[in-house]
Amino acid sequence: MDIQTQTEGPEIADDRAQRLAKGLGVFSLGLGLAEVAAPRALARLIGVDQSAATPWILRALGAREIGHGLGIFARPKSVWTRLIGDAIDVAYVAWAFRDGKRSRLWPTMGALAAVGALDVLATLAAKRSEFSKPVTSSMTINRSPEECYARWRNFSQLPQFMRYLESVTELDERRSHWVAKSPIGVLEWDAEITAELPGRSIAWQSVSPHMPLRGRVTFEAAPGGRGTEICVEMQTAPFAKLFTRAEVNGDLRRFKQVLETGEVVVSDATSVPGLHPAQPAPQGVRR
Amino acid sequence: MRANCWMGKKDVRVETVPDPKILNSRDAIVKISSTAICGSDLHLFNGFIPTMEKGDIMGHEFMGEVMEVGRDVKNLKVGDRVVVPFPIACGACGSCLAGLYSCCENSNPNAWLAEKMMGHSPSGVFGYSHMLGGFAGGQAEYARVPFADVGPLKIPNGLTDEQVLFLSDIFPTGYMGAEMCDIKPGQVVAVWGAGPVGQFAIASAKMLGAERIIAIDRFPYRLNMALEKAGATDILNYEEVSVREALLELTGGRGPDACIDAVGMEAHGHGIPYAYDRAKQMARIDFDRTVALREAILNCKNGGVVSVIGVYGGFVDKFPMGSFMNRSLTMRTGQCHVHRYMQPLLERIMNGDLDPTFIITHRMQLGDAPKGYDTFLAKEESCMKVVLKA
Repeated sequence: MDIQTQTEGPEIADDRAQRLAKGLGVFSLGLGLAEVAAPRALARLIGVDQSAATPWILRALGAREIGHGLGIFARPKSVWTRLIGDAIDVAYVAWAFRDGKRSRLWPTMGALAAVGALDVLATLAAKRSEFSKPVTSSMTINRSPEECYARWRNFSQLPQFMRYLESVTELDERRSHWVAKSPIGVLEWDAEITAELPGRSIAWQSVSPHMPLRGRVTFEAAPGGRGTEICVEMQTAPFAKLFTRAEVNGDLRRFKQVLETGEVVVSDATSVPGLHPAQPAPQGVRR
Repeated sequence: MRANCWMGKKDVRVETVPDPKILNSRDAIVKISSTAICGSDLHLFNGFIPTMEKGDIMGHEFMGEVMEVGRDVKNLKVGDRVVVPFPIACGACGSCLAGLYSCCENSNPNAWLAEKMMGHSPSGVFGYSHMLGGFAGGQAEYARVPFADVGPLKIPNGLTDEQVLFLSDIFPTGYMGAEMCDIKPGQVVAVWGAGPVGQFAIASAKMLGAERIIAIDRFPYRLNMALEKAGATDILNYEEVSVREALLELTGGRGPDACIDAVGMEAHGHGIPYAYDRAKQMARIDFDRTVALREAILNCKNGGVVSVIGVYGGFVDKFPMGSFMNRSLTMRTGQCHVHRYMQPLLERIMNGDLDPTFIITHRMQLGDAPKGYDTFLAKEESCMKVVLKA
């Protein structure tokens, strides 16, 4: 089973992290172009000495800055590479203190420190808004992969065994609208199928920016004619903590019950929410 | 309805609780005519099984009349008289299809709890903690029976409750204990524990052709029953004789071909190992006392079988792994897969091979259940088995 394919997807879902990274990308491009186009004027401004090598050093630093800027636009998560650039810049300015203009070098150092702090923030924000490690769970179900797939693919029936879901409405072949209950209230998002092999696997992903979420389920024939090995992977933003492994496993166990026995099995204690002694629920007075 | 509820350690009370209703389409509601107190209920009573809640209805040995069936129960009708097996099994998962009904993969809605304790979950069980499902038990006037199309056995007319009640647990459990020994002609079987399950293990070993059956206990009335009723050939009171020496003598120094542990987690014994187990159990470091199991392993013949039907709850230590491994022993165990034994053992009862009523010593009304527990636990009045009429 190829679990690796799940690493693709949107890398930064958080809008602010995205904006900060891109802002720093613009800054990199601007500074880089200035360093390449007008190294002498820049050298005077920041207070480094005016030796013959200076323009070439600044042009090299500029080329590197442009590289960061382009990299960030291609992949906002790569904002961390700016930290390496910051270290080189600080080392260069510190070296320039030997014979540069100190009254200009100190403000330059201050500006580098401020930009460095923003870079650290952007790097942390980008890291935070990545997807969590996948929560995975597997179950063997005594039914064919095709039957398991067909039941799962009928998204509107998922709330029957996925406890946190209120409803799923299929909008078209690929898109669906999900409503879930959570401790902080009702959550809603739209999801779309990102990859599908009928009878084998389904991958889906939220397209609502406020709800970083993606999942994948695979259905493989179990060895020895034992039905289907079903494997689920779910990922959310780490701070969202929408699922634990136990919860995903509970969903799968109920899915197995539905397929093998026809419905979700309840006991006296589990037929009502919350802690309840193993005796018939009070509202169930029969006679 | 009235039901016997677990209210805390050494505290059961008959309370008025709501009546059960159909919750799943394969349920039946049974009006209970007879129910029994099991030795394993005493583990709950003594507070040694985790995940009990105040108010849990006890009992997993029961029978009665079908009052109502869910829409998918086709094989039973209102008025049928049934015995209900204690494990709850769906009949459709891989385990059920393999005959391992007490390992049913679908019948425990609290499987996640059992997985935390045991790695994987066994089946749900009536009246036996939330870890095993949180199902209301059968020491009550009515019970909801899930998967009623798979478990309950219809009883033909002409048989009394007392003749067939023990098909729910202890007769099949004792039988499975003997069956797991793979008894061949001429073999010697030793049975630790001459309680109800031990008696049926002895009787079953006899049915399966054991040459010699040795019962080990400390209560003379239990040993006498084993000798006179169940079919033991020899009895050992471990408070009077050295079990090891006696077994060596009775088997020409070989040891028994198979050893059955019908004692489980609350074994009683002597000396430092027993004091050690008991102290750890009292301190809740361990759930299990393993004196009987250790003795069964150490005494078993090289290459023999240790068959464990006594109930254990958690982890054990001071397990004689060296003896077990170096002497090529085999251990077989499990909660009984009652479903696969009910019909053949019903036939044994009808044939007259065995009359299970010999173990009944006390008959009470459901309302006297707390007294039944006290009597059974203290082994007062030579108590062997308490049957409650609901």
